[in-house]
Amino acid sequence: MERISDIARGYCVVRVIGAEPAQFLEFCAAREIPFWGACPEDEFTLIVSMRLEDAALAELAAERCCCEADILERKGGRTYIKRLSRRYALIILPLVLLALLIFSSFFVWDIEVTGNETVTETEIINALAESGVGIGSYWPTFTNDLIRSEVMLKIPELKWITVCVYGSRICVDVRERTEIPELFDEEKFSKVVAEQSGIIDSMSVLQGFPLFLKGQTVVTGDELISGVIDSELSDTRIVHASGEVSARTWYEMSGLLPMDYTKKAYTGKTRDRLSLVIGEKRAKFYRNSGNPEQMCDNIITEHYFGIKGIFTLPVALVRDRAEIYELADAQYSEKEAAALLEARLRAELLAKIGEKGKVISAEFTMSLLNGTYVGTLRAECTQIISAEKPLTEEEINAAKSAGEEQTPE
Amino acid sequence: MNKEKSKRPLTDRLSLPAELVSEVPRTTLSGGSQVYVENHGGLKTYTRQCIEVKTRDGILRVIGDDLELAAMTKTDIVIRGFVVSVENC
Repeated sequence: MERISDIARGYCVVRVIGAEPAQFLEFCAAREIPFWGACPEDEFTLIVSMRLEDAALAELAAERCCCEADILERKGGRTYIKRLSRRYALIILPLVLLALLIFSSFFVWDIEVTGNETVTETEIINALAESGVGIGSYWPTFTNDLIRSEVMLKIPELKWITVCVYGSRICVDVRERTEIPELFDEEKFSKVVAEQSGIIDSMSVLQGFPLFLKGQTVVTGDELISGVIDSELSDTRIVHASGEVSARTWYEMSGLLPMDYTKKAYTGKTRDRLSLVIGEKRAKFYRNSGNPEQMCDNIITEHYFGIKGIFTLPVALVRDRAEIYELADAQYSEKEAAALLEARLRAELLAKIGEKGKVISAEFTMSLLNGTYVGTLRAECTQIISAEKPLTEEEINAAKSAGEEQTPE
Repeated sequence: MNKEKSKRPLTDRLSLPAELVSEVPRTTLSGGSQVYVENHGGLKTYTRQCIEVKTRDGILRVIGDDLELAAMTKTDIVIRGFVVSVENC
């Protein structure tokens, strides 16, 4: 620490030449003149560092010890300040920068949105911008209540929003409304039909009259649970039929893939273009900003200036790297084609059987026909095949009239 | 026998610590890299290989390599470097 304070106060490097330069050190120690870094060059020469304010004393001490003292260089705070005092720009510039930094911290340069699940960040940022909260806006005028009410009016999916300001960065925390579950409407007369042909595995009837039993075969469109319940004791009741029917189903799906295709062959050449974005303005450091004739993939990287997590300046260095490629003819090998087709067909199958569906067994075969791979996936699955379908007016009337006929007079 | 006894310091004869007597030089060697000398009488020689310190009882010679005078006050000296030997001459 002493050294740091000495450097801050300023120090000089002194060369002492004499018959016995060690005496000089002894003299300094006796007079309590601090020194450090004493380094003997040879038998008669010594280099030593001392405080700048003790330079005159050092010369006197050297004289007393029959030595000669030369100040080789002056270093440290005071010397630097002296040098800086003639260079006004170096003093003013940091002050101007500091003032600019303080001034810029009153404006928003970065918006971070958290807590959103279904509402996109862009939607929220656009709604905020319409409410006066955007890049470059003056944050001391923000009022949380006003922003909240305005944004929530624009995005009804949100139930709560808060804006926290951290320097020039604002964090917008949102909470979305929970979807109201669909209520079971007793007045909505409906039946349950089969969406897919198969053999019934299990039936779970919550309301209505089951028309099939476990193990029976159904085809697409068959009525599984009727919404009309006949009764010998009372009138025919028409209800909102509901239930879940699981069945074993079979699929045979085919897909085509041409053997020849064109692929990107990267030449290894890249081209970088730099630009500086200040706010919404862009300064380009390149010519011909139009689309290049060559085919390329563009990778854009933005580096914003600032201290991460504290503040971000609205200045970004943007690098647009173009990776040049050429189109080349290629052919899928049998293995590649099989993998690609199988993956596609399996994804299609999973979409068809739904989330609750399961693949019991699957077999994939592939053949090559006139330069095209033909893949076929045969699968046995279990899935929910039931779907509610509202009863038509005719069905309701027919059920009612049938009920009246049955009623004993 | 009596003559030999009389040459011994009084503190030694009375079984007292030597530092009780003022200006008795005390040398502390720490791990072969630092020598701390208290109550010195000045520097005699100062080179990278040898530093001679004047004491009340004579000369204390520190021999080594890359020796450096780390600190020096009116009474104390700190020598740093690769210390090979410390001799009392």
